[in-house]
Amino acid sequence: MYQRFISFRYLRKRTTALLSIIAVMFGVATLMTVLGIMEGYIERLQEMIRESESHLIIRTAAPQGLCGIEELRENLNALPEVVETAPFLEALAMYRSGKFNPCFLRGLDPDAESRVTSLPKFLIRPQELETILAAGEGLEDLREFKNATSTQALAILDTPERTPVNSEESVELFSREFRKTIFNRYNPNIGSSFSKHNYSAIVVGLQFLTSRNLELGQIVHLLTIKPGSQEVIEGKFIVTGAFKTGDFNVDSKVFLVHNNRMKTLLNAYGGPEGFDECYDGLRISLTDYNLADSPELIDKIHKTIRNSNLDKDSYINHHLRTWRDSKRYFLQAVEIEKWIMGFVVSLLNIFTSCIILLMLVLIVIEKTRDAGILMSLGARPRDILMIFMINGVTISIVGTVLGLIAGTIFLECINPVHDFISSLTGATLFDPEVYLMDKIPTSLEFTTVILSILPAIVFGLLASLVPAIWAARKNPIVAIHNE
Amino acid sequence: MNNTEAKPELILEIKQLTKEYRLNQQSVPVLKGIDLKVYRGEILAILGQSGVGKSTLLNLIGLLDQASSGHIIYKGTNDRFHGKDLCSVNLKEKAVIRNELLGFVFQAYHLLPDLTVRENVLLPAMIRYSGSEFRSRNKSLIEKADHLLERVGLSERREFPPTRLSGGERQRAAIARALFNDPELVLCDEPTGNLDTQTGEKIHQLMQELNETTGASFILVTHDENLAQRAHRQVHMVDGLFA
Repeated sequence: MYQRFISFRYLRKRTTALLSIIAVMFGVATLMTVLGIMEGYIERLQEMIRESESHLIIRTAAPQGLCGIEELRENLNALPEVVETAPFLEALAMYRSGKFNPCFLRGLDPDAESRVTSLPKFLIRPQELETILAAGEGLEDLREFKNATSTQALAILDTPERTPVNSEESVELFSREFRKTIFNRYNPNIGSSFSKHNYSAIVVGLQFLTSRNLELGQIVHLLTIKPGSQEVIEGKFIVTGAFKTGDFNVDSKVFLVHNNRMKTLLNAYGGPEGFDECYDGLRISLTDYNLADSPELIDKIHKTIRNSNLDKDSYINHHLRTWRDSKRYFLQAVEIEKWIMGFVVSLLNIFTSCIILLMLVLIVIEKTRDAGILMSLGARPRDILMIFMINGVTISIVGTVLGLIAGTIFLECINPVHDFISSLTGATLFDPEVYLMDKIPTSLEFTTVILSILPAIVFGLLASLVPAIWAARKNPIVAIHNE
Repeated sequence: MNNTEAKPELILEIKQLTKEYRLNQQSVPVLKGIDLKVYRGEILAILGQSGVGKSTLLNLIGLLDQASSGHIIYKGTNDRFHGKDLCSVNLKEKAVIRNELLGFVFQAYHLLPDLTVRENVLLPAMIRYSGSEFRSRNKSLIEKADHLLERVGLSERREFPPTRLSGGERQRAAIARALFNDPELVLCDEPTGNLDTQTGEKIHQLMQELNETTGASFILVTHDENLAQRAHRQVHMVDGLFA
């Protein structure tokens, strides 16, 4: 008890102790922030993959090589682990907006897709889109327009109160009536030509609109290559809506098109004899995404595929991929980067422990005589050891707790802090084009907290132990007469 | 001490105590076979020139140092250590003896500067009792500390840090601390060495007074003949032996 009392008295009013606590605090907060952001980045990345790619995907090597999937879908949907399946088509294309730009066409069935991916969460309601775009009204400068619309989008779409669009709303975005309304509203001068051209709907990533590459209601000419040939196909579409996944890569490159329109564009009708419709693949949503890693379920799905009336070539060429497979190497790279960064930042804790060590050495030198006096009054060497250990441990613990608080606050406020610094300096520190996400993701798991505080505590203990042992081993007579 | 009327009660018997230091691989004898008896309630002055081994003897009696040979037999009232050779007790027991049976008064006072005067006086009790036991006795211990401080004339300065006290006041606080655990023997190493004559005289008077009221024995190491004259008994050391 008295060891703690004396130890605290030694720390009181000592500037070096305060500086050591601040150093430990910064060490812990930095490590926590790095691990929190990296963990958040990995989690968000995985979440984005699952949300846009579904949990399992059946694909074939050849384009539109999956034919006769109706029975397969029925059988898969009958499995208790499967929530829903949705067929899809894909194509690389070029769109003309001044000049030709590359894009990725993603054909989907809005109703089924809504139950397989997080499409309802991503789709933006027409009213919401109008509000977002209205925020940039009158702003000529592209940067200002982008900032205003992006900020408005975050304010509207990233609130917990917002409900995802329902199935009818998502189907509506691709409907003829809605296309016509949009066409007439945004193209009043050529209103009569809608029936003639029957423009199909495309729902584009929000980045297309906020960067003014495209506009709502704009007629878009798309060029793509017909699969299996070198024939260039042209299609005319109208931008009827937008979506925002938060994945910059998707939001700036993907057009959503109704499967029916993709079929006609790519001439996907007419597969092998007896099979009417062919697709590029089939997305499968599971009751729990962790089941995608279960070998039993994968076996079960393989059996289901085998027992379904699938076209022979489709069966031979198909392969089953989990959500993790689609960006496996990228995820592994980010995971490795997380540990490397964690290790590097842990070195900071060694540095702060050296500060504790130096501070305690100074205290021991200064308080050597006290140690001798205490021994003359009946203190044992282990009591002296305790006094100096408590010094180091107190600094470590107080610094760690403050670091935890500072780290948590910083992780919580990192996006406003980033925006504030960006608005002051004009520099974009977290560029969505580089990091694929429109805001800095963070995650504060129990393991992150433990990994953040462990080096500070362990190194702090070791740093305290050495001077404490040194003090405890002093000869009391020498210590008492120390000047 | 009424040593003329009743047989004095022995509390410490030192037999053939020697101490040698190693210097450049050579043995330097400092104490060459000391025999000494310390009686209850006496003030024993050890006189001698610098370097004759007075402080070394005091450190050995205070168990701060280890004798090369010889015995220090405890004959006091503590049943646990009665009859034991204090030279052969373990480190833990030495700490207990220093805390409960001995008190130290140093020439340079040696108060802890980060503690107040009252906290310094309470230190022996803090070391003696565990946290919960100290808390349960807290009130009585503080009362005892205040009483001691009053006796040494420092009750007005109990909340002061030692750095704000004069030399004489610091030594009085150190004496109060030495007496806190009611030791049987108080070891004083040149207690007036850092003080002017007048203050030194007052300190000596205080020790005499406390010796009479507490009954504790005092061993007083000094080279001041005048102060030593006031002790009950004097022994002179010359070259590691009593003259």
